Amino acid sequence: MNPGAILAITVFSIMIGLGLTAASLAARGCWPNIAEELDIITLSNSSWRRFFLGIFNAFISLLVLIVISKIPPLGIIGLAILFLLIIVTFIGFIAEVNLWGRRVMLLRDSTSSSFAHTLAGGLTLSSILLLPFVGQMIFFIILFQSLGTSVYWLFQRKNLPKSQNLS
Amino acid sequence: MNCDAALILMYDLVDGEISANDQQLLNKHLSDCSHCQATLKSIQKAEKFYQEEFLVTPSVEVANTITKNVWERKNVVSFPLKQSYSSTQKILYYVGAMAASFVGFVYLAGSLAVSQLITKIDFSSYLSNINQSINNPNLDINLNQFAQVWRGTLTLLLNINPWTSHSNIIKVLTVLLTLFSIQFAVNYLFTQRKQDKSL
Repeated sequence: MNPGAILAITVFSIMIGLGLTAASLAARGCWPNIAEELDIITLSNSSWRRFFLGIFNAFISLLVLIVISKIPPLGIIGLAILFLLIIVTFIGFIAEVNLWGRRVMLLRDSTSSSFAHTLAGGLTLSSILLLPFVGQMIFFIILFQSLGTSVYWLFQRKNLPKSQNLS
Repeated sequence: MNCDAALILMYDLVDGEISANDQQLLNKHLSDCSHCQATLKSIQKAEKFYQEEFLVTPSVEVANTITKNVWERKNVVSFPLKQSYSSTQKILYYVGAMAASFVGFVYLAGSLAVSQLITKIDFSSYLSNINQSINNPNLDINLNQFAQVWRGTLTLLLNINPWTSHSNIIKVLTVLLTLFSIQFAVNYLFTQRKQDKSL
């Protein structure tokens, strides 16, 4: 691999990591109640369960996209499903990045804000993404967990305790 | 010293925060005032009761166990699901869900098998034989009616079979419907359970 390609991948990884961190912070600021519900989901369901649910839904979505691609007129529906999948994964990512930040910040103190958690988690994941192959694989695992978290949220949100955050 | 001032000193006495001079003054007042003697006794009694009944110091083992449990569970958030089913209800729901899944599976697998068989057998000659039988004037009328009903049923079955349909849209929609049904069922069964006790 030439140095130009390595530089491009590095810059792209930094952009993805920092961009997602900033987007997570913005989403947490815009929809604090939903973010709080997602935090409860990540804390009350194990990582393995979220990962399994995420990879299962990703697999089914892949099959759906393959089937839809057989019929060209349905291509627009395929694009819509892909877009929806990205959005749903990002919703879960808001909580996943916060969970990683929470774990990291526990090394320092146990009373940090959501802002600090998201920032610490985002920076950690951005750094992990820079690690070739292994780091990118970990990032993909986290994306699957994010999808699982979102699915959990979609199915359990009615049973979640009412948020006290009215901002 | 009046009784109001003595009352303040009595509380200081019980708390062990009275000076020697104040205690001397209080003792002098108490020797002359039976009402304050009774008040002091009741205060001392109440203080003794609180110390014995409420201020229990846990043993080191108990304190360590409590701290450990709180520490281990401090990040765990649990919330109850609204619906709680009895064992009988659970069994009924699972049996119902399995029966429905089995029927769906048999329908899809059976229709797929039929569509595969149709490509292998000479189905057109089979139908033509039936047609010949129907048009045969010597055939018994009951058999003729039976053949008509059978042909109609077979035609209907073939028309509603998604795998033998000539339209690709119907095939794709059937597959998509099946995939979405599986996805929804797994997601629902996976998420509607009691919460984990630990991460």
